[in-house]
Amino acid sequence: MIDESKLIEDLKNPALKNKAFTTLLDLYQERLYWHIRKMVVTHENADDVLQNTFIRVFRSIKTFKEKSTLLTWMYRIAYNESLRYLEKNNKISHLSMDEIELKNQDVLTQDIYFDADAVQQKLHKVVEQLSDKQGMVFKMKYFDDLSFKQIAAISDVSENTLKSSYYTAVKLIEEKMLAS
Amino acid sequence: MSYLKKDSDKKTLAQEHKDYLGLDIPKDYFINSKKNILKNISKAEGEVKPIRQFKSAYFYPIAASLLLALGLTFWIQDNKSVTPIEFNKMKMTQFSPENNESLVASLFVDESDMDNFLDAYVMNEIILETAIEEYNLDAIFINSFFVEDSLIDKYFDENIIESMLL
Repeated sequence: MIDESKLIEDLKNPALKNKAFTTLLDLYQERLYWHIRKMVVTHENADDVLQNTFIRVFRSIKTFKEKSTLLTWMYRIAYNESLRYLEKNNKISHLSMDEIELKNQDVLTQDIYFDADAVQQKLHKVVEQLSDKQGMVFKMKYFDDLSFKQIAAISDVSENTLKSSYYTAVKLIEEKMLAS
Repeated sequence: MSYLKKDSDKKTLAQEHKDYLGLDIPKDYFINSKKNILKNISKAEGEVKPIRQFKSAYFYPIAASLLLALGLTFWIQDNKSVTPIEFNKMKMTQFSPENNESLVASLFVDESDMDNFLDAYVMNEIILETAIEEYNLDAIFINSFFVEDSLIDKYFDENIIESMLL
C-alpha cells in the first residue's frame, strides 16, 4: 500500500521523481483518461489531452501545496486542460453552441472507439444537451463517482450550486429518456 | 483508499464505460500511453535545462548592463536639463515657422547669446540654403541636356518654379 504523502515527497525529490512518476501513472492514468474522454468526446482527443495533463503535472508538482488530495489536484489539471483543448478547437472552427453540440454528437458517432446501442446513444445525446455546468457536474458525479466537495475543488464552483445543477440535470435526463 | 486501484478494478472501470456509454479504447492502450508519456516527459525535461543554464549564465550580466545604461541615460539627461522657459525659447527660435525671419526669432534670444545666435542663423539659414538652391539649379541644367529640344521650355518652367518658389 502506498502512502500518498510519501508519494508526493518522492515526486518533489529530483532523485526519486522519475520512479515516483511511474507509480503515479499506474495509479491515476486510467481514471484521468476516462474523465478527459467524457469531456473531449473522442479517444484521439482524450489521448492528446491526457499526455498534456501528465506533462503539466510533472512540471508543476513542485508547486503542489497539498491543500487538496493529489487526485483532486490532478483532476483539476485534467479538467482545465480539457477546457483549454475544447476552447482552442472551437475557436478555430468558429462554431456556435448549437453547432458545437451537433458536431460533438457527429464526432462521437464517427469515433471508431465508440460502439453504443440505441439507449447509450440517446443518453449521450441528452447529456450533450445539458448546459455546460449541468453536463460537467453530471459526468463527474454520475460517471466518475466524485463527491460534490471534490468537484467543487476541481471546478471552482460552490458545492450548493453543483448540487442544484446536478439534480436539475438528473431530472432533465430522466424526462428526456422517458419521453423517447 | 480510493486512489489505490488494483488491476481488477481498472478492468471494471473500462468495462463500465463500455457497458454504460459504449466508449471503447484500443488494445493495450494504457501500457502504450504510459510509455509515450514517460518518453515525452524526458523530452520536456531536456528542453527545460538550457533555459536554466541561460538564466544563470547570462541573466544577471544582461540585467546589470541594462540598469547601467538606464542609469547613465537619466544622469546625462539631468546634467543637460533645461528649464521650461529656455525650452520654449529654443522651440520658438529653432522650430517655429516664423524662424525664417531673423528679427522675430531674435526677440526670443538673450542679449548675451545674440552673437552666437546670429552666427548660427547666418550659417543655417543663409549659407546652407544658398548652397542647396545652387545645387538644385545645377541639377536642373545638367538634366536639361537629356531633354528633347521641343520639350525644353516646359521643362525649365516646371523645374525652376518648383525649385525657386516652392
